[in-house]
Amino acid sequence: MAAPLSVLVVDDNKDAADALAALLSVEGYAACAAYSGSAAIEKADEMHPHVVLLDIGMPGTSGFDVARALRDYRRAPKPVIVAVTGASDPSDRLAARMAGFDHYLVKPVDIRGVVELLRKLANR
Amino acid sequence: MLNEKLPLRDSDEFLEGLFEGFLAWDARWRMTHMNGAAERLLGRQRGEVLGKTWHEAFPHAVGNPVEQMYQRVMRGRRAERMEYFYAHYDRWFEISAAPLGSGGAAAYFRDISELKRREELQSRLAAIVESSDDAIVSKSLEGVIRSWNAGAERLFGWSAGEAIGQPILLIIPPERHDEEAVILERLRRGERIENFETVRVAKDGRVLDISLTVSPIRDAAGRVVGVSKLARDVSERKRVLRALEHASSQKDRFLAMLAHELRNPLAPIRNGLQLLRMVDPASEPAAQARAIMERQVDHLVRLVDDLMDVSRITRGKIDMRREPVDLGSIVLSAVETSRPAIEEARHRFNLSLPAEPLVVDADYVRLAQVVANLLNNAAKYTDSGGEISLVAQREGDEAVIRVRDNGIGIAPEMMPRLFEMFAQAEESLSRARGGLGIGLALSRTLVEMHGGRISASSAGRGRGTEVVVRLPPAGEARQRGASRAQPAPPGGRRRVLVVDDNVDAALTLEALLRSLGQEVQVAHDGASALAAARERRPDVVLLDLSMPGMDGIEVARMLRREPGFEAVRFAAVTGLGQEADRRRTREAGFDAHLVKPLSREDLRRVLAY
Repeated sequence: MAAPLSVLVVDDNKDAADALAALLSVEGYAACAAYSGSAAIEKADEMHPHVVLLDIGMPGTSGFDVARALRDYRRAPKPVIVAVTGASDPSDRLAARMAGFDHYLVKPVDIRGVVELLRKLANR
Repeated sequence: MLNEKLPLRDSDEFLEGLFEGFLAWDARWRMTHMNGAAERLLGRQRGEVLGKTWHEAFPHAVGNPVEQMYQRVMRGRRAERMEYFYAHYDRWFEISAAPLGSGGAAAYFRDISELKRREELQSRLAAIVESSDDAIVSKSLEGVIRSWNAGAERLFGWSAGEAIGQPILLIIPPERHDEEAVILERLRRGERIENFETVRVAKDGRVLDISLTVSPIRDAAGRVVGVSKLARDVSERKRVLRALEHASSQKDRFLAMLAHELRNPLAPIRNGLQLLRMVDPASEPAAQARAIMERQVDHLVRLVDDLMDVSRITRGKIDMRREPVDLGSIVLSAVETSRPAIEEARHRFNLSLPAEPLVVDADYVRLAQVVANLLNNAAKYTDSGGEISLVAQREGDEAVIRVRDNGIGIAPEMMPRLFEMFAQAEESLSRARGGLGIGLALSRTLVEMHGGRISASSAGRGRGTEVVVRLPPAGEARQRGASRAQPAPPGGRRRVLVVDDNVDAALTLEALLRSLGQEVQVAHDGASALAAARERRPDVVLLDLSMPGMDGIEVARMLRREPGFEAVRFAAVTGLGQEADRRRTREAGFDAHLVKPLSREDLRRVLAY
């Protein structure tokens, strides 16, 4: 692996975002946390993450809004957007797909699952 | 009626052909005729009867009403008729008696036991129909109402006089007129319809949920000639059923939500544990992980506490310890609880407390819980940077708390269920704002247990919300007791300088001090505190210790050295209350050390020197 994969973790539960970002840092990723949809869009603009782990249910700018904004992102490479959500219905997955999410993780996400996914993405 | 002139012998053949029994006797009561039907009906042979007197032939009947009738006929020479139950034969007879030209008399009679049985049955049925709570209606095949019982009068509001003769469509709503045709078609085929749930309209236009049982009425030949309907009002049952379904689905949603809410803190806790395994326990990430886990465990504890409250409420097991307390101090305690939520969302917060103590008869902890709930809701349902205000004041006799925000508001359709257990503004699983949907229900129960009322209003989605709690005044005696317990500060009105970089904390303290009748000035950093102190020369300075730049200790040290500040009282306001902390402020020249959250009593002590 050349430069480490950069990951933006977005969750309005600040502790959840911080914990996951800290863990990913320890795992060797360049991880950063944002605690709202609007902050996530700003942060993504700034750091051009390879991967965004995005909580869907946030007040104000929701995960869906963020995903749409990142899809419209002009500069390449576009980030891989992973939905992290408590809802696990097929209809929720479909909605996530349509909003431009590439992957879908159900809370509480297991760090091993996230790392495995990130490894796969890095090998592409 | 038998012709008196008819020669009886010539009519023997005629008499034998009768279904009725026939007896005749002469002027001296000697039996002269008895036909075959009479033999069968009375179970006697002609040979035993004819030639004897009536009294010899029928000794069991002597003196009974039938004999009395015969006596009248014999004497009065006028025909009579009666119905009589002969216990001897265990049968009802209809008996006609007529005088004969010979001076005797004839009787003919028939067994009407079956008729009587039917009549009795019918009158019993009629009594049942009339006394029934259900509406029982019959109608012709053309749909014209033929009978209408008291139950129908009660249920539909039309009297029997008004309804009979009208088309049945009178009580069927227009959109269901087709239904009637279908029912009639099935009945023509002889089917019975049981517990058919539908709606009907009463005279006053009320729509009734009813259960219909419809049966065909047949004539003697078995042809369907009409329809009887039994309508039972199931509106109440339906309402209860709907309420139960609603409660059950709300409980289901609640459980789904609860699982979601309980799971949310688990991810950071699990990741924190993982992190602790991977990093040096003394490192910054380890400290961060521990802080995260502590906060999330606290959050879980709060959720579980709320759940325990729900369970106590539903079992009616909430203990209240009511005593006369100042509403202002309850509000301040709640504000301290909710401050983190308000600050995190960067809301502006305005607090207004009454100038005089407003005593209510309340459970301090429970009422503070209510107010904190309302503030947390306001913080949660208002997007970042909003405005929240809390006004506590006397309105008429009542102590009133108003919590207002300019947040997402409440949709009108949500209003009626706002205070129901498990009701929430956002009911999807991807609800952004979390929570169990029990805060307002809990608040209402607690306020009602205080003899108060709670209400909410909103101009609609996105238009903010106001929740108002009204509490009855504390009893007179208690109020006097309470005012003795809380005398005005003996020092009278003082000039107080409040220094806190946290604007909301400073404002809260300002409101509290004003409610104690003090003159208050506020500064938000060390430099402006020095300037304000030099200009206004306060009697008391309340200093927050942890301010960026020049902190409270430094401000106190500098002012202490200046001439004119020797008699000024300095009080440290801090979250730290250990003995070491107190020693540090004492050594820095503070006169008092106050630990947040401040109570009115704390302030009274500082002011009362």
